[in-house]
Amino acid sequence: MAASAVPLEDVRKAGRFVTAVRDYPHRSGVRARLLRWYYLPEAVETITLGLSGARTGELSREEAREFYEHLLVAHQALRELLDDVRARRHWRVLAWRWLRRLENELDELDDLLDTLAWGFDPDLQQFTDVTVSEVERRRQTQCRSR
Amino acid sequence: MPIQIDDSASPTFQKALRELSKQYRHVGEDLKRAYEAISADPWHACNARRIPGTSHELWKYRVRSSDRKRGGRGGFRLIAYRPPGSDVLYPLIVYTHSQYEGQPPDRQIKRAIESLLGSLPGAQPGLFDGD
Repeated sequence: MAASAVPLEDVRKAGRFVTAVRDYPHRSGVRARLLRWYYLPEAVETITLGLSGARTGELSREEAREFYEHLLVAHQALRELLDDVRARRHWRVLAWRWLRRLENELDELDDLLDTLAWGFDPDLQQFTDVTVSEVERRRQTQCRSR
Repeated sequence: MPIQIDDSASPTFQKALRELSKQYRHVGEDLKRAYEAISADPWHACNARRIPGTSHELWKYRVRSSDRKRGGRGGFRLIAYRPPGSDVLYPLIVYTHSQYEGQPPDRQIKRAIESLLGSLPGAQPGLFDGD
């Protein structure tokens, strides 16, 4: 069960980057364009790949909460940026491939946030721990009785 | 490591599937395709993510829907449990993103696990009377 090879620190950095890019949307300089059109999709991919598969299961409750709060801000920033691009017909037409890629990544980020939120919900956690232990106990009883 | 998927153990899952199939005619086929992929590579297929903060193995998957034609977002979410050391994965809940904002409410998830418990022998009635 191999976890993602992307270091968690890179995921944090990518989150900060996505949030920061929101402040550049109307600038047309080379740096702003590069950030928005080239590096932004890469950064979002770093987040979704970095926290995929077994990696999310390795996070403690505190880490799950920390990433949730950190990435929620990035998610909001990305959503605002995409809404802004969609609202401009010129950009929407020129950047449709970029938009489609980032819309998929935004959905992926959405799912990631749902998964992380589960990790620090105390009620759900307690219930899951108790009941899954019970499922396991009964499954073993079932195996023995066969 | 290939694993088996037993989707008949949880009555809640079966009920959710029946409900979904009224609206999405191909949900059964979509899930079958997803099961094949998940069986072959359970930790990466279908955007697999392990739910954090618990020592138990609960996994969340995204299943594409051939009825909705909207990629992963328009598809189904599948939450499954794998007992420790077991090579069997038990689907607990299947739902669409539009059914719930985010994920199913706690109560729904509790019922799903409870129903899986009830389907296994040695059930202790009243374990969840406090809900």
